Amino acid sequence: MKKLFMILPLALILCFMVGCQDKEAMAELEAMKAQAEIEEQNKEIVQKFFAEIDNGNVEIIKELFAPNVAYYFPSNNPEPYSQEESYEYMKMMFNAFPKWHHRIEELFAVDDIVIARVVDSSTHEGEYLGMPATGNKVEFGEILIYRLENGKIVEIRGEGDMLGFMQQLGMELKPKEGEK
Amino acid sequence: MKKKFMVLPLVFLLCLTFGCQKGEEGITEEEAKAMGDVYAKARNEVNLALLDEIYAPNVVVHDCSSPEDIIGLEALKEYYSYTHKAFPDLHATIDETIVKGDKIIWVWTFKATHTGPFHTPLGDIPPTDNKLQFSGVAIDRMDEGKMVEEWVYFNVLDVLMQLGFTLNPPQPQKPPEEKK
Repeated sequence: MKKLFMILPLALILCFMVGCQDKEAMAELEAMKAQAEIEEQNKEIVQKFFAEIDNGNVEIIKELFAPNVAYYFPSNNPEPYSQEESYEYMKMMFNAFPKWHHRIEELFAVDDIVIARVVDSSTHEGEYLGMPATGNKVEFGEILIYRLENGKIVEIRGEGDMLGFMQQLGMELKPKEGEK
Repeated sequence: MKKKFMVLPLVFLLCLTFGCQKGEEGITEEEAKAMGDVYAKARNEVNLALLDEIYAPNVVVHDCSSPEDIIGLEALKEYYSYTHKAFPDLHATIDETIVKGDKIIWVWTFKATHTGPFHTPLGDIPPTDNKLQFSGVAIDRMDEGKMVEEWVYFNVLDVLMQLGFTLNPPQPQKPPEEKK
């Protein structure tokens, strides 16, 4: 009899715990699966963006950037680019640098955010900031943090090696007093 | 036999409970934020020894402001010391912390006044008394609780321009002699 009394509460607790665990675990599992799916989709969207830019398709900005997108570069820029400004900027860049290659070194997604560490390369084939085409090759790295909603990019914050880019172009940095 | 049957589900339950709680392998957001606090404290109090708590001794840092990778924590501390000499009132804030598996992503802001000589890969810049503010992003790879590899990007060009540098296209070359 004693043994029965010992086993019964234990069995009850077990059933209770397993029962609850089951429902909780199932709900958690479902939520995790749904989130993983969205994260995968978001990563694919960012990958598609880079692939299309590398194909010369600037129009992809109108397709993948939300109309109300905010593009912060550098990440604390008080005046982020709108979709229209991002598009115009990219068109301007394409005039000077028609062919791009984006090598994605690292890509991961957390909730509604995708982080990409990328190396961009191109050749200077058109006028840029007063510099006629030099044929110089540029290669520079950047980290971009994307936030996506319903399959569109709504926010981008990025930092990149703009100094490296400018130096590779042949731009010279002069200190305040002017002399070397 | 009865005892075995009682213990088995309990053991299974224990595994399930612990298994579910541990979640994804790697660092938690709380742990990452704590590390960020240590980093900020180390920089803001110029107590670089604190970095021993969060960086592995053989860490490799790919910092876009350094032409070469920074190899080892001692080299990193030396690199930071140049910044502290130039900007004694340097203040770092961590704006955002994101974790994924063994990676931490940080978005940060630095504020400083240029009151000391700044030893940079571009040469030594005498103090300008200019106030600086710039943002950056870092991705860190963790191993056994410490950062072992880091990629840092920030707008070095913007920083130099805040310090009075100007960007200039190269001087036009003399027109080549006409070939016959």
